Amino acid sequence: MNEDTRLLTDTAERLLADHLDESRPEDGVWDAALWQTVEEAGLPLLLLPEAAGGLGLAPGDCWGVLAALGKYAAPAPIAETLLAGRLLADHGLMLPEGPATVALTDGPELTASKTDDGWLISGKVEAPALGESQICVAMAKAEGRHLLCRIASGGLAVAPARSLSGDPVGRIDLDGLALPADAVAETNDGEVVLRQGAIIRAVQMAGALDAVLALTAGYAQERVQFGRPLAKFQAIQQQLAELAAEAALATAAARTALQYFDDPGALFEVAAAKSQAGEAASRANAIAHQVHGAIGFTREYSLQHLTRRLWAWREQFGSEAYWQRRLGTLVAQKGADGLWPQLAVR
Amino acid sequence: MTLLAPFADDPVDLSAHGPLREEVRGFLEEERARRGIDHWVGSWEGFDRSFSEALGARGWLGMAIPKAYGGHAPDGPGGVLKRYVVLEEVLAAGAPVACNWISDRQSAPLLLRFGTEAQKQALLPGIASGNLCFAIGMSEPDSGSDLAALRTRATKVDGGWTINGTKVWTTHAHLADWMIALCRTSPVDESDRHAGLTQFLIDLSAETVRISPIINMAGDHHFNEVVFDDHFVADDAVVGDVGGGWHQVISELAFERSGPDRFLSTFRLMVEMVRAAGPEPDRYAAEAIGKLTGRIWAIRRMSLQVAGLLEQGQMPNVEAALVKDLGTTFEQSVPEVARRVAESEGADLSVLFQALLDYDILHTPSFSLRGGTREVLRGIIARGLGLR
Ligand SMILES: Cc1cc2nc3c(=O)[nH]c(=O)nc-3n(C[C@H](O)[C@H](O)[C@H](O)COP(=O)(O)OP(=O)(O)OC[C@H]3O[C@@H](n4cnc5c(N)ncnc54)[C@H](O)[C@@H]3O)c2cc1C
Repeated sequence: MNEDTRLLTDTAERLLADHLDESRPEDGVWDAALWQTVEEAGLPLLLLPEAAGGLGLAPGDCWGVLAALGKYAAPAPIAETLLAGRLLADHGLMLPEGPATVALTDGPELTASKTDDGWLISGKVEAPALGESQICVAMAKAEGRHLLCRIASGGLAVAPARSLSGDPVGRIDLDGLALPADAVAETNDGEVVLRQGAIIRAVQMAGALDAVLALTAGYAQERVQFGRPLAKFQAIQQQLAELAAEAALATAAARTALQYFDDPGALFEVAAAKSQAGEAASRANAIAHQVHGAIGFTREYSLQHLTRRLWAWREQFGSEAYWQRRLGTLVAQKGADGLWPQLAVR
Repeated sequence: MTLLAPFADDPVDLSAHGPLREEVRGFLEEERARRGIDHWVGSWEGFDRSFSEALGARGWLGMAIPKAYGGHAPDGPGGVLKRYVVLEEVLAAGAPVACNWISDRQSAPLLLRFGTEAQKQALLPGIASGNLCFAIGMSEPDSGSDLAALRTRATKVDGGWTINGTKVWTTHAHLADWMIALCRTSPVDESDRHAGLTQFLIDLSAETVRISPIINMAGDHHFNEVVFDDHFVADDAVVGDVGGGWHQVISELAFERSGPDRFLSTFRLMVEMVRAAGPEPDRYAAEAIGKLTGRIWAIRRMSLQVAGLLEQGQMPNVEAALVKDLGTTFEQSVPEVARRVAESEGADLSVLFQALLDYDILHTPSFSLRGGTREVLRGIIARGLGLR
């Protein structure tokens, strides 16, 4: 990390901490004040190239800010807006102002058919904060061609729902929605949304795990039972050590995957990082709740902001089972003797 | 949390060392062919002095030993990572490196830091050429995790020391040339149990050193009991400071906890498991292979970050403990997963797969014991978290 990125990270952390320590909205309620604060600070533009009005940072340099979105369990589609903007810019499409989102994908794609002046899109879209966003980026398929689509979701009838984290998720069923030609870009990389979405989530998860570790270790040092802080009991120490190891593993994995954010050949790394973030989250959440006792099981106490998001993010852009299946298939195809060369490629 | 910070740093990237990697792979293939061995079983427990000498002849031992002592350490940076490439290639192939493993991994760095000039001159060139094998003399019958409880005594006599006591579990003492033994040189001080310990160089061929086999449950003669019976060593056998042994041992252990040997012990089985599952594994096998692959990849990424810290001259004890804890747990999980993949649709099991599976099942219990148990490592991590 250089000086600039450290400064950026500090700013983002301070801003999120200040806002979220003071007030945190009820589940599913749009936090307009938070959005305004992060927008004024320019966070949603972070991943954009300079030509599109961004800072032109390498994705790896955005680690601190992206991880902070997880660490502070930010209840707004900031990561989604960052990703949507980057996807649009990379494909030569315009990004309107305001919150944006990205379709959660690992399943069947949208289908598209060509018209005289654009495309007709059909299929189901599910996206975080879909009802609250101006646009949603999604992949569609038309006769074997991959299309990156900018769907103006503002006016559409979105069925609201909530994810496990309480963050809003919206669904729409598109039946021949007309998109103008300048809202669609063709690409060879049909999995770019899935891959980059998985990387962003893995980074947020690493940030959240960092916070779960700090919160849980801190609590164990404060809470006294049998005349001693919990942290003095060896059974508790051993669990916290395991939690630290899982958090460190998710961090190393996500940080590496972020390095290959723009590399369409990095499916191996993405599959490994997202599935391991999920594995780490499962173990870490269980330990954190066990060490906290009943207080951690309350709405009031802050642990749930982190653990519920970790559980929700595990599922998004490919669960552990999904990515492990893909990774296993990839390994099997390359054959037994290809395993080591793939692992040790960099 | 500062403990996680090194893992969030720019990822260490070994791709610049591709040519070296290819060279090592070529060498391993040649050596296997030359010895008429199809597959190596046993990884770093396999002992073959001639193989270690062949590694040494290529300049792939002593990569952290300065040229003045017969080693190949570069004058500038880059040494740790280059060495990492060689180590992981050799281990991933399952090559028999036991003869050089302990000496190159921990005895050489220990001697470099604490040894006398004469000791360095006498011993380091042999380590670099692969024909000096070292054993670790720490554990005793009544002193395992609680190392400071050890009772082997060294008593000062004219011109040297007389050593009496018993070491156990000493890996390859029956094949090794030297042992570095930790002994008590002054009585236990209950207010500072770590004081009064000293490391000595022991020539294992001496008559007053009695080595007897302890057969492990797999039936191998791997470790030993080593009894010192009024064994005399001269003053120049002291390594480092009299009374400073504890500090030296702790720094020695830091060298041995984060490397690829802590997650590759069962890698050959993983490879044969993939072969058994075939190019079109069923859903269960695909997920199982993907789960292990993702895990080992992530642990390797952690291990590389720790190697990056070592390269900068840091002593990342706690970070290394994190790697070893995850790594040994991973190694132990491989045979369990392989047993299930073996029953997946269309799995085609080779004789080699079965041999590796049997070998690994019988050896996995030791992975989370040797070099500090899982509970001890987690204690170190807990201290790093400020809990104790
Ligand atoms: C294959 C193999 C090779 C080895 N090679 C060598 C060698 O070359 N040289 C050498 O010196 N030693 C060697 N060892 C010994 C090794 O270092 C010891 O086995 C290890 O330090 C543990 O000591 P122990 O076996 O006496 O178990 P103990 O210390 O008796 O421990 C037994 C169990 O109790 C747990 N335990 C102990 N204390 C605590 C505590 N305070 N809190 C919680 N749990 C605790 C341990 O974690 C373990 O699970 C080798 C061991 C093996 C298995």
